[in-house]
Amino acid sequence: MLHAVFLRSPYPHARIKAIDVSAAAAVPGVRLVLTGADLPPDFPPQPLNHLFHGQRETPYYALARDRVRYVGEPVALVAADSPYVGEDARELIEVEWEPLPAVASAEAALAEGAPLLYDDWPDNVAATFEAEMGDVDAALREADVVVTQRFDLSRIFACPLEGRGVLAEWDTFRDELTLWTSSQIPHIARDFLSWVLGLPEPRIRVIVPRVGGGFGAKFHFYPEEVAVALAARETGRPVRWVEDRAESFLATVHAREQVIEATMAARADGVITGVKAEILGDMGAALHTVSYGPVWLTSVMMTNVYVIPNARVRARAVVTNKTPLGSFRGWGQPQANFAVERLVDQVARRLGMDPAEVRRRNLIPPDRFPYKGLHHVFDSGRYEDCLDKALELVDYSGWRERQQRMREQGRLVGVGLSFYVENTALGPSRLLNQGGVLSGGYDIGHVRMETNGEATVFTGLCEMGQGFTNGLAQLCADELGVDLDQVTVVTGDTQLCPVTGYGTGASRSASVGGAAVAKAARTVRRKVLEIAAHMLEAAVDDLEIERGRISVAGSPERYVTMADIGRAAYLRPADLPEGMDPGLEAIEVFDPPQMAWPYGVNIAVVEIDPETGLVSFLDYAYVHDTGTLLNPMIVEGQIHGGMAQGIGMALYEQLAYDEDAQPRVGTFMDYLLPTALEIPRPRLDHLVTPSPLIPGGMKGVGEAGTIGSPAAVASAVEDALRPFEATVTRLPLTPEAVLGLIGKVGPGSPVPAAGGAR
Amino acid sequence: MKPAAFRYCRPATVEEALEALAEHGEEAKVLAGGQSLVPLLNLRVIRPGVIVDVNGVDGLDQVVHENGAVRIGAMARQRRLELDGGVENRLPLLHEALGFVAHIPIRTRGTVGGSVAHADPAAEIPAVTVALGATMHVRGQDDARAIPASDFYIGPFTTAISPTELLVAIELPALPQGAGWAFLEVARVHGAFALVGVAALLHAADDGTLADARLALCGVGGTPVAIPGVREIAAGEAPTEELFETLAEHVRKTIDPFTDTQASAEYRREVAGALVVRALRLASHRAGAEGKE
Repeated sequence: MLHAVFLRSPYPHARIKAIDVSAAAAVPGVRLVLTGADLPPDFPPQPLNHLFHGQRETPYYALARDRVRYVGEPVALVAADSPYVGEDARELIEVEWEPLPAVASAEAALAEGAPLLYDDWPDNVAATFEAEMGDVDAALREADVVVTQRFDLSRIFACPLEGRGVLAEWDTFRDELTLWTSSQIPHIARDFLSWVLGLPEPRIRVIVPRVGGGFGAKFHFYPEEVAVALAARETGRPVRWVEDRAESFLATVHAREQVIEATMAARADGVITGVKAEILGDMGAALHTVSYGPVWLTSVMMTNVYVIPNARVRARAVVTNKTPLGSFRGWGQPQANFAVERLVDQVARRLGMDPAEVRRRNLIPPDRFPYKGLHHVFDSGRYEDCLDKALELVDYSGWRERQQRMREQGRLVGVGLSFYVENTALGPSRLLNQGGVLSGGYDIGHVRMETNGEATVFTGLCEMGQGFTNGLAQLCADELGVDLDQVTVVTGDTQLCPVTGYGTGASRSASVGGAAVAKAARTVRRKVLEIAAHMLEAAVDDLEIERGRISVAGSPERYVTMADIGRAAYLRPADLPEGMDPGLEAIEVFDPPQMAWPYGVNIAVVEIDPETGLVSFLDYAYVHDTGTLLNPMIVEGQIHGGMAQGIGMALYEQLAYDEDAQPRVGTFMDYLLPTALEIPRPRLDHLVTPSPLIPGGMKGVGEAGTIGSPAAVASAVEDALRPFEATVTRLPLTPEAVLGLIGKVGPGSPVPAAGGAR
Repeated sequence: MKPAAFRYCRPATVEEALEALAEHGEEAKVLAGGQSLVPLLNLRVIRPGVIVDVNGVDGLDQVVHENGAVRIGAMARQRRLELDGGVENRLPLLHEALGFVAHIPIRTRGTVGGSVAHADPAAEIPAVTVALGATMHVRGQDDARAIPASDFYIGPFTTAISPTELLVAIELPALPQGAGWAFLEVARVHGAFALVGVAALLHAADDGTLADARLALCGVGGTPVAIPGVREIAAGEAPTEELFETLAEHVRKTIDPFTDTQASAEYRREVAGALVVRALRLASHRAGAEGKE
């Protein structure tokens, strides 16, 4: 096996005038050096899965051809006997660069005379999206209070602790490619590989072993997957690439970075009458697999959970000389939530009302569902019950009293809340296709009963630690009436598993994937009962299944086991009813009629050290409703993990760049992930309102924790800083930023995007 | 993240190690716990031709309690010292600082000598050596030197150890009876390097005024910074909040901190003062508590 390493661009923007690989290729142990010049002239750029109406093309390739647009862009691949030799040889590749002026932020990219990333464009705007309902201008004119604020959301990323990895084996005799990759989209990756490499889809097998965290970053089709496959073809040997920690900060998609200017109008009684927002998404150097999807989603979520009749939003996706932006748990929802919830807090402050009360007055009431908002249709919810439960769980009124006493002692204690809703069960296919998504929103479940009576579930979804294999096994076991340990779940292999419409993302595994598996298991159950009825000489309707034993109701001694059924179906078809085909499996499809919308409330209680700016948690409550809970432990784990990432976004994480678009993050000393020592253990409670759209009633929960937690933390910090009249508008709230809000250090701090607005 | 090629040698004695260093000079790097060196190798930030791994050297990890001092072998692991009751009793400042050094797995491999020789200006242990007035015992092939901490740290990641010398032990004076101590720091997350760290020592006279005071900081300059003039300001004064504030202002004026991606110089200066007051308060409290016992 050969080991691949990539030479990456050290420049944010440059032309490649020439590359000389001769010295590198001459290093003993080096088997191949591949550059963009080795790609045929008609070699296709990386395909995209999301093609929104009107978006511009930002072609980029497995290896840069003649121009690089961000630091970290792959320029050459070295395949060698060891990664050590590969890294030695990489240093000997001579590139003649012609540096070009770079843009380091969306605003810089929009400035008059800014350098263009794509020469044939008139500006650096890759796409614009607008949506409107009602009459916002009238709402603003007639409002008793209007608040306007600019929000700055920093660039962060999913940062899975297990980075990416690709292993390609190209059987040049049979012309078949097997590619193991750390991905959330094996079927999309297979199709894209086919389009780029010109090898028919069935000759490509993509295998995704258990993945150590994806969080959306692996819902992307990366240049390395293509380049490593090419290296395997060229060398005729398996080639492996494992992303190292340093390159992961540059080579894996980034996320979140936006500037949002938003305005909210309200009446004196706290009823919100309108919202408008201008969203600027910093896409980095190119539109990646999901295009500007997260920025689009931010824009259409700007009414959050509220009945706001008038809204107008505009989202612009702008290219800059930074790593391409992509998916991260929550997509654009944490940004929208941050802006809307911060504005609601400001409305409350201006009106002298309790922020929980302002929210209560505006929540979509249960009898308004299904509720059509700015773009989506929300399926169901009991929002006010959820708010009440959260306020009770955290002892909101008690904290308000304690806060008063603590303030009198000079302590800076704040209580902040946010209400979120999450887009899950992404579908239906027709809606997604119309919106520009290439793949559908369906999922296919395949359940096969084996000869020994155990069941195997095949799914195109990928297990990356979220635990859905357990959830799918539970659904299958329940439908079939067998114990959980009688079900095996096979995931992530395009040769074995059915196609999944979208991939493992958008919190759809349990809801859409689960519904498909349950449907297939029900079909298998029907045949099980038919076979058992024949063997027991009883009517199907008289049978019941319990723990793998099918018996006649009222006569438990008359039974057959699942093993008997399996044997009959495959090994002794003579035992089957006349005319029944052998075999015992089913493939069923579920395409959701609409999306399912879980929701929840975060309440954070923080204390700020006024001398150091450090934020610590005194309490945290989280109440949510994700419909039917398949497995409470998994659901709680999802909430804990998502919340931790949301707190990371609020307080710690930032992929800083300098004004020349050079990254300032290279290790975990620069990119601070919170640890168990930083994250509070939340008081967590559930409401269960089954989704009317999903058989079984499950909604998704994968991203929920990330969406409302940044806003809640920001709200709590702002509340704690009430004595200083501070307004929190940017993240992360570093100790320096907090002292900036207090006024102890100046706003002119040279630390990028740290000092808070005052 | 694979290092460039290097030669590896694993001496069994100090003499063998010194022989290797004498032979390779600037080309060689000493590998102790590896918690800083190995990442730097992997990132190819440094490319030594030879790694002299002293993990196999006998006796370099001994901790000896001598008259009024503790002599810590350069290879003594940080975690071991943290759990050593004798060290906790006689070097409570070091004990307290060790709790801030990264995380337990790192302290389990990391050595005191490695941290001192690496001389990261944000690291805790170098600040403790400066505060306590430690003596670094360094050996060359032909001689041995005892370098006071005040002369030891020359700049960021630079010490008075010559390329052919090996740090063998750090001698730290035990805390006298009745003295108070405190180590405090601000880091953005637990285990991260200090944005600012403060080591404080107070010696009370019989009349309750201060006989001596010392302050050393990390994260605020190119080396661990022993603040000059602290004794002059504090001696003969009562340990009051007013005095602590005066010392904090003195520290803010004295230090010349830097800006990096985590905090500005202005933040470091501001917070250094706040931490100094807290550290002095805690040290004073402890000095009082000790006195009553």
